Amino acid sequence: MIPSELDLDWWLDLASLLLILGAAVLTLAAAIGLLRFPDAMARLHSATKPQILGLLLVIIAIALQARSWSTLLLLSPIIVLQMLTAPVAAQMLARAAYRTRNFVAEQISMDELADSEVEVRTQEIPRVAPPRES
Amino acid sequence: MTLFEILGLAAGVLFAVSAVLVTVRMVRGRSVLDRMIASDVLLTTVILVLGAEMVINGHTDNLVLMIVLAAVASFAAIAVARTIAKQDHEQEHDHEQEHP
Repeated sequence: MIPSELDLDWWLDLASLLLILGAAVLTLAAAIGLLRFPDAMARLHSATKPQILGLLLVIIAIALQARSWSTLLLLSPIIVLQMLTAPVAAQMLARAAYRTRNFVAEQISMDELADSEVEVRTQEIPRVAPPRES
Repeated sequence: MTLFEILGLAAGVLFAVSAVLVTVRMVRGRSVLDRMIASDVLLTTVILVLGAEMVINGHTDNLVLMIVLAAVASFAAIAVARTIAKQDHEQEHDHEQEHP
C-alpha cells in the first residue's frame, strides 16, 4: 500500500517527535550519570552522550520536520562544529581531571599517562630557572 | 490530547527533569571540574531544547542560535580546564619546594 501525501507527512512528524524523545532520554541518562558516577572522568563519559548522539537525533528530527534544503544547509554547521569542538573540550577536561587526581584509581584499567606525568614535571623545571642567555 | 502533544510533553518533561538533575550536580559539585562538566551538559540541554521546540512548534527560527551555541559551547570548558591544570601544578610545585 502506497501512503498518500497526508499519510507521509503524518509519519514524518511522528518520526521526528520520536527522535526528539530519544534525545530527551539520552539527556536524562547523562544527567543521571552525572549524579551517580563517582569521579570527573566517569562524569565526562556520561556528559558526551547528548553532546553528539542527542544533537544528531535532534538535527535529524528538525530535517524531517522542515523538509527543505535551506534548513539542511543551516543544520549541517551545527553538527560539524559540535563534532569538532566537543572532543577538544572533553580532552582538556580529562587532562585537568588527571592532573588534579580527580579520578578513582581502582576503576582505571590502564594508565597510559603514568610515565609521561614525570616528563611533564621535568619539563616544567626550566620555566622557574633563570632566563637563558641569548 | 493528540499523540503528538503527548510525545512533545513527554520530551519536555524529560528535558526539564534532566536540567534539574544537572543543576543539582552543579550545586553539589565537590570540584570545579564536576561543576564545569555539569555546566557543559546544561548548555547541551539548552541546545537540544531549542531544537526540540522548533520541531514541536513547526518553525525554524532558532537555527542561528543553535549554530552559535554549538560553536562557542566548548570555550568555557577549555578555559576552565587550563586554569585548573595550571593552578594545581603551581600548588604542587610550591609544596615540593616547601618540603624537599
